[in-house]
Amino acid sequence: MNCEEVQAQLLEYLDKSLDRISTKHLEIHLSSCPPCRAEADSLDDCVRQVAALPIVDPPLGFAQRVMAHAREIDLSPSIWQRLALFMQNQIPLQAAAVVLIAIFSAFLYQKMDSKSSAPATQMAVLTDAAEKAKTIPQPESTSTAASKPVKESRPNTAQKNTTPAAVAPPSAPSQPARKTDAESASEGRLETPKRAPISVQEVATGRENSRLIGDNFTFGALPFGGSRQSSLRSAPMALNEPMFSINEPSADVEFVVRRRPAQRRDSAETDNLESTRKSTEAEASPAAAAMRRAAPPPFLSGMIVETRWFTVAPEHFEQFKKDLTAQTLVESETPTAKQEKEFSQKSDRPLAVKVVILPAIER
Amino acid sequence: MLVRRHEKTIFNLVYRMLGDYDEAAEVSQEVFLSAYRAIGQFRGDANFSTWLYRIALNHTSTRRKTLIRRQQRNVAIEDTEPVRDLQPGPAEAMEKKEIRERVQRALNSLEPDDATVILLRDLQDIPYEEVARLLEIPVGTVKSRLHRARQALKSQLASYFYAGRKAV
Repeated sequence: MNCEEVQAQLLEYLDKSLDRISTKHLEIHLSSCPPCRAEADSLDDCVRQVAALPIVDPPLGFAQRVMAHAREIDLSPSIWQRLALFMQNQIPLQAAAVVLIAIFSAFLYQKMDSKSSAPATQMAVLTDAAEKAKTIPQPESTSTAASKPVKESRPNTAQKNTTPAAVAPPSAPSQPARKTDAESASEGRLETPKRAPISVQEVATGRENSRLIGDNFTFGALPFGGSRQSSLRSAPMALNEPMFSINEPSADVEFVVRRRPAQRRDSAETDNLESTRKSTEAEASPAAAAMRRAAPPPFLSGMIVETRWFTVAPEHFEQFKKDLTAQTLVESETPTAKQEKEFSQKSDRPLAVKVVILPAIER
Repeated sequence: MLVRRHEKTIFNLVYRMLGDYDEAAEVSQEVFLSAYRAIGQFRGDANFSTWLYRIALNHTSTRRKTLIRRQQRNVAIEDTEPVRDLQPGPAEAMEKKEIRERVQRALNSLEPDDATVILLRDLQDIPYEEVARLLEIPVGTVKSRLHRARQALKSQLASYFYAGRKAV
């Protein structure tokens, strides 16, 4: 064994991990080689000196101090708790509320949008009813959504404003005065054809939102007649009765009718126009004015199932039904005529009439 | 409980690495508090004492660098003071004390890695395999590093042993 081999094995020799034979060879070399012997002795001294370093006791109460600090860590808020505290202090509650409201509104808008896209849904009925409830109690308001029936009702609203006692048959002298008022109100209003005053108020239409521009609905939006006495039926019904708390407003009478085929519709329209003209002419006479009645719609267009609401004075209900039967095919009526008669006798308030209009069967 | 069980070993390791009692007390406390905070990260696949040693070595290494910078600024280098010029001790206890102080200074003058491996192996008597796991190096590297560290320590203590033997 030479000096290099001894140097290589010196570590294990000092650790006493060298096997017996190698240890013996190494010790033989060390006894004969003073430099290697000195090296081994000095390294052994180092190991022994380090190992002889005394165990130092930590300061008194060291463990207690550590545990006390550990308890402080437990009590002090964590980084997440600090962050939450920061957020709570720095971000005002109002800002958080605004964000929440915005999210909720977006959610509601999406939901409403998806529902209103479906034709003649209950949601549309309720929405329309709500709109009517807002607009109809203010007859002067012209900011209603551009629907023909509302526009057509303007002359009558002007008339209503100028002649509070219009329930009574209008006399001949009062007629020019009405015209003057109507003229001063708007030129466009005069151009609209005068309709027979009927005591029917359309409350809501199932597909009003989806009505086309060219669609010439002419029925049911004229607020006048017997409805004047107790204001319009729609607003009180919409606001006072539990209209929004249920899926659909309750109807006193419900009709399911079917549109007449195209030919018949034309003739029905002609009839209706004639009767309208007649009634307009007759409006000058008190007797004709007393004959103000419900004029059901011609239902000229549309192949979609519609739901329409009307308020009809009890005394005009028979006439309303007659006209409805004349212009449509009444398929069902709920409740029966007998029941509704009893109902109208018992109550003086206008009737809420629901008309479900089915498309015509083309032959 | 864990603090009491490991306080001596950790404190002695830190003290021998730093050579300052007060600093060692402060750093040892930081070691235990760090371990307390990070106890959730202890995976249990290693020995707890090994994990604790690792934390101690990290803290000690950082503090040691700070102390070295501070000593360099103060220029108070007691290491250069010849041992033979020290006042001769009246008794054997005095000599032992001097030897311990000298060894401590020699350890402090070593490279941190060398001092660490000497302290872990020769002072704490930790097996090579455990040292290797702790330092995350192979066992062979531990051995070669230990041999190199002992040579460096021997060089640091050579003058003392020479002077000491001469004095004795």
